[in-house]
Amino acid sequence: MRRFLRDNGLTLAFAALFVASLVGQALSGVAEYNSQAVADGVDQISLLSYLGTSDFAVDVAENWQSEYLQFLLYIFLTVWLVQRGSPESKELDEVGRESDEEQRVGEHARPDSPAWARDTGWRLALYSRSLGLVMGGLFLGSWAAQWIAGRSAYNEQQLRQLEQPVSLAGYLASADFWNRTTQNWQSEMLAVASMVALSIYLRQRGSPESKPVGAAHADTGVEG
Amino acid sequence: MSTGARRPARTVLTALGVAALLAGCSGSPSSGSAQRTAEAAVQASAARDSAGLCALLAPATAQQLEQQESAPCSVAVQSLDLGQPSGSGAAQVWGSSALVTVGSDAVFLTDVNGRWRVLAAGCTLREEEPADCKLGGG
Repeated sequence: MRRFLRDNGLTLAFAALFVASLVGQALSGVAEYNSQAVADGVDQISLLSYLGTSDFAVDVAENWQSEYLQFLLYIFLTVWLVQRGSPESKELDEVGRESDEEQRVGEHARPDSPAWARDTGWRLALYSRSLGLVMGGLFLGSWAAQWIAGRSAYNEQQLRQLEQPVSLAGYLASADFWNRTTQNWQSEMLAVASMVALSIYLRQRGSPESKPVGAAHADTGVEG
Repeated sequence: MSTGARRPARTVLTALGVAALLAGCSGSPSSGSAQRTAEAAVQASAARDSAGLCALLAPATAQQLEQQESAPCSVAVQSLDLGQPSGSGAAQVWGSSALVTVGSDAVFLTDVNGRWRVLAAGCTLREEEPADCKLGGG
């Protein structure tokens, strides 16, 4: 058990932080929802009921989609773009999809390589893109959930204010949808840009997200 | 960053599914009962059934009406003309709110303790601004 906890500590810690954050979001979300309900002269709801509302769903989904978009872009852009001095970047001369030998696929696969990495057909093609495809799927799924749940939450608010509900297409063109979307996108892009640039000059001893403390600022693609 | 790639996709997919399921499980009463409540309110108004109409109003709407008219609800609604209860359309339900067209007017409803109650009635819908209502809506 202790070995399992040690071997999976990073995933387990983030999973626990995720659950704790989601609980915090639910508690503060229902308080805000009920505060607005009082102002609108309608019923307040319980925490359990709030978890089933489109308000909660859209607030969750809008953050998820931006996180997955961030990682999707990071996965793809770091194939072709580099940053001198950043441990988040590949070496400057490794731009592109790299050779089969460098990627250890096909005849260059090693005994412990994943089975599909030894293939040369569609399995290798699919496995070579699997991380991007899954992240892209999660992004699109979360964004679609934001669209659908956001329209529902928006329409509930519209009716409370005695205004007409909008169609899915109408919501896609609404300021509410794009404000929710872009306010999350901008923060993700800023965080990535900051990490790429700051990690050139700053260090965190022992972290694989940082270069070794003594590494030169010009060293690229070196993780501590 | 590499930390994100380590997140277990299956857990995330499960969470997405649960979120979608929860979002689809609204605790609000049905659209059919919204339609019946809207029709009943307009019917009560047409029949001069003040007590019946007041019983169908959301507390905030009744309170607002009493303050505006400086009279009890049963008296304040007597001068209202909410049209005829003919040809109601299907209710549009969004969360704890609903919209029903009865005759040529619209009725807005809200969920009060699991039952639809009238938030506003006798309303003419307008583009890009709140409806013009004979009852409710400030």
